[in-house]
Amino acid sequence: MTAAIEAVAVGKRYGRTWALRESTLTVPAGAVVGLVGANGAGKSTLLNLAVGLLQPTEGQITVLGGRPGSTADELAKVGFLAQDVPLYGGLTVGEHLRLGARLNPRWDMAAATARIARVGLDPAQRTSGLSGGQRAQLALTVAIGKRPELLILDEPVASLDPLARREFLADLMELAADGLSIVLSSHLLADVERVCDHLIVLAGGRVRLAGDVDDLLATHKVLVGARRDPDRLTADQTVIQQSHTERQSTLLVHTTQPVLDPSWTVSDVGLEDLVLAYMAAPASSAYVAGPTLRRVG
Amino acid sequence: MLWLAWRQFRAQAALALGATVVVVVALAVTRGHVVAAYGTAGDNELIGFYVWLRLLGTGLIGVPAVIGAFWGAPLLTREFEDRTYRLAWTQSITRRRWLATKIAVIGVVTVALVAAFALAFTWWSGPIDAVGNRIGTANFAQRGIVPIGYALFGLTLGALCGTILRRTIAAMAASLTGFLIVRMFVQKVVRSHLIGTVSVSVPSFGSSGLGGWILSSRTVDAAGNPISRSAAENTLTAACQITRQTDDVDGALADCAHRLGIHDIAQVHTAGQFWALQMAELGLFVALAAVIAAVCFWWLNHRTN
Repeated sequence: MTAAIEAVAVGKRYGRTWALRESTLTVPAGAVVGLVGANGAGKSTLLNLAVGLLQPTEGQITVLGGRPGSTADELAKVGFLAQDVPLYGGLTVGEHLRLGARLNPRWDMAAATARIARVGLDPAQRTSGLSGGQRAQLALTVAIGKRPELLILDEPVASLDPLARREFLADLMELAADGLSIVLSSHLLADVERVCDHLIVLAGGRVRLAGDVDDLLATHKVLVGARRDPDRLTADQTVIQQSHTERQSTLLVHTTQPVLDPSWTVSDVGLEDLVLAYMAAPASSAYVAGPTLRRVG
Repeated sequence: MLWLAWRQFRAQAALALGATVVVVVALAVTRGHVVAAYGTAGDNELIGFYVWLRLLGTGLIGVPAVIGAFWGAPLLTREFEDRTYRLAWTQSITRRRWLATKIAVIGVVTVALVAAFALAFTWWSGPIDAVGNRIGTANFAQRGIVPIGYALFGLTLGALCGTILRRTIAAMAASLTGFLIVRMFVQKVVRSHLIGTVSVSVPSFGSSGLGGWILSSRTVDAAGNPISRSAAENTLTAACQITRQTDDVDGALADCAHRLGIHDIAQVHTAGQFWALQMAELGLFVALAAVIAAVCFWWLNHRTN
């Protein structure tokens, strides 16, 4: 099966500043992927590369087997909801659907019209008067109305109040259940944890962690025991984060094997702690689970 | 895409159409008076119309620059500033086709309206041009079909400035400046070389009565040998006893030159070459517009990312 997004050593430079560097990752088709990172971590840059609005300065990015944005066919495969939800202020809600119909050969007008009615939007209303939640719903309708294979959303819930956010995410879950691949960025880990089955963590323009959420949680353990040197771990255990008191050591380790040393108290790690640990860890300890699990750096 | 391009442009197109209709109707209504004034009273009656002529002619000169600044420049900068390019360019249509459709829609409206204005104005000023000179003066740019070329050039230049600069005000300023420089450079330097000149014999003294555009001339004697201007004057004053006390020195010189066969050979664009020169300059500006549009496409595909 073709990967939704395949990036090989992708980098993007603006002037002298690298927004993204040496990013290698694979997003499987059919997954709901959360892209997490602080502001300025490179999330928007990566997503804009994936929809073809940007071209990489180095490396290669492939989306659903093609070069993103290169032809009308490639464009038709990917639905995009850009950051801050751009809409034409002078056009009405209905005209945005018409725009979608005119610019997308696979446009599903019946579904789009039904969706607009369901979320309570008036087709005759100009978009300049819409609330943040209404704008996001209209933009999502335009993005999925073209019947894409991959839906990419850049901070879709940033401007939404908690209730609208919950409804929006529920809509995404429904779409994912229909087999659509979804990538969404957010700096709110709670949202990602709720809807995503796959995770990518960016920090400082580099991929720090990528993989299936369940696998990531299963292969990371928190070890607590009497103070000792972390170098004395078994070969398959890699320390991501460590903290020591005078008498006690606490380690977050990555391991594919059970921890057998009885002197450790082993516990599972929460997703938030895991993500924060990788964000804080040096780039050299980045962990990217590909089609075959491998460690980079 | 045609629908979206038209939907985004229709309000401005309607406004421009309204203005053009007003101008063309005003020209049609007053044209009869221009003819009458020319036929009967001559220059005095025409003076009133020259005020009109200057006003509308200046308008016609300005329209292509305005189109560049107000239609060309915002074509892309509005998308950049409202950040809607991220909506437009992620639909199932390439940027190339998006831009081609936008330029085509605005270009067709531009050509239609500017052509209507320019041709109506040419027709209106016909009686005045019949006694004046429309090829050798700045009037050339206010007549015929060249305004269409200027407008297409202005439109594409504005679009290119917007593509590169991404900000409306900067693109408008750059587009206006660039337009002015190129237009004036062509008028002052390039235009005279666009088509071949005609060699004609004109009187050395007094009015040529040619109504054409004299680019260069040299004085020759009856045998056709070139002589300097001062030598010609000396010959004439000696042969016909013309002195400072002679009444109407210029008239006497002209008569004398005619008698002795001294005349000028001039390289000119004649009044009859008006349309040929119009075609040539239109072609030049349409070609410029095509080149600029090509750069615009290239930039959008290779540098706007």
